[in-house]
Amino acid sequence: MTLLDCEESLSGSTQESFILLVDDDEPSLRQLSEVMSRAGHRCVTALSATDAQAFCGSQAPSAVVTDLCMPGIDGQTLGCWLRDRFPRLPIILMTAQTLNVEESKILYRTFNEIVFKPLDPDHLLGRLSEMTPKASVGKNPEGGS
Amino acid sequence: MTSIGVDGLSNALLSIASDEDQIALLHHHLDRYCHRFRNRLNSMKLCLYLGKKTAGESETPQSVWRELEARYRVLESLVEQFQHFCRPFNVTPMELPMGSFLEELRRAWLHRLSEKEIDFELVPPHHPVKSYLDPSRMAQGLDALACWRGSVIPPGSSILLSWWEEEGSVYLGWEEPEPNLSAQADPTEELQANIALPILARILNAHGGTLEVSSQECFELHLRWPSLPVTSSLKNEIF
Repeated sequence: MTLLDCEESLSGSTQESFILLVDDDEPSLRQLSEVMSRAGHRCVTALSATDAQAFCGSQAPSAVVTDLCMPGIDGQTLGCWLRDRFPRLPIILMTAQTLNVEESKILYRTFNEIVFKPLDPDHLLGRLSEMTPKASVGKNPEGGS
Repeated sequence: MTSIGVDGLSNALLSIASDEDQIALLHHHLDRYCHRFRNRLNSMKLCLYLGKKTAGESETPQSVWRELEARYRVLESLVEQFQHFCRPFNVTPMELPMGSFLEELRRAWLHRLSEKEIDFELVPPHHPVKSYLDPSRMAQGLDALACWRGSVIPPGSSILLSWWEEEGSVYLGWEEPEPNLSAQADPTEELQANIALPILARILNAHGGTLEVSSQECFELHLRWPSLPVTSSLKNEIF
């Protein structure tokens, strides 16, 4: 599994909440992680949906921000996989594509929010704060710890 | 066709604005490139955001950040407009009184134009004109035009927008009575929106209409489209 810029050791199960960022565009992923970290979020980054799935096999993030178009498993498939496992998990989709109304409607069945690249960092941070209140630190989206 | 304030890209896109096959080809070939480019822009925007957050105010003058952000926005806007030009779209024309349609646009533009003390005036015809058009698409095209002209003409200029019906067509005239001085405008501002004409031309083409820019000293633009709905379904479906 290739994970970048883990803020803390990821070996074993973490009891603290963290946001999982998934994007095959490495520079964007690294910078987004930096933006999130500076805003006080703990982040784990994955360069592919496969890496993200492997990581979520043992731990539940407090939120996920994933890209749509990625080689191999795409963001939509990853979103559906996460939604099956964690029904209340906030999942944000980011995309560099333009979406028509019908495509957006379908994606909103799985994702809580769709944001477009180039991202507006303040908007994204604002939405994440709404979805993952500080009080949830230490709890996973299923309500356990 | 004049080259007043219109650069090479805009001219190139204007030349194919009525050729849907060419636009589809362009979309096919450049869509993946645009996707990659947006990823690069995303990285650049995040870097700018981080740079601004981490730099102390005393270290980097605010004017430098403002210029960096302005230049970044030029790139983002150009890619956005280019994708807008190439993207497949439909038009859904409906009957509308031109006067109220344009008055609504005027109100939306007023703030932006008044910031540069640009006087914008509607010149209504003697008799009310109704037109079949897609209000959302046509507003997008005219908004791109207003944004572009508003950014390139000097402060204190004036714009006259007139409309009339003649021989089964609706005409819309955009006139800037003062001599064109767009060469004096900020080149980054000019670049920002100057594929407005191809965007507008394509929207007009979808309405069965045409666009003409005068070759005179002053900027004049005339749009024309049929008064009645275009019956051919091909005009309403663009692929």
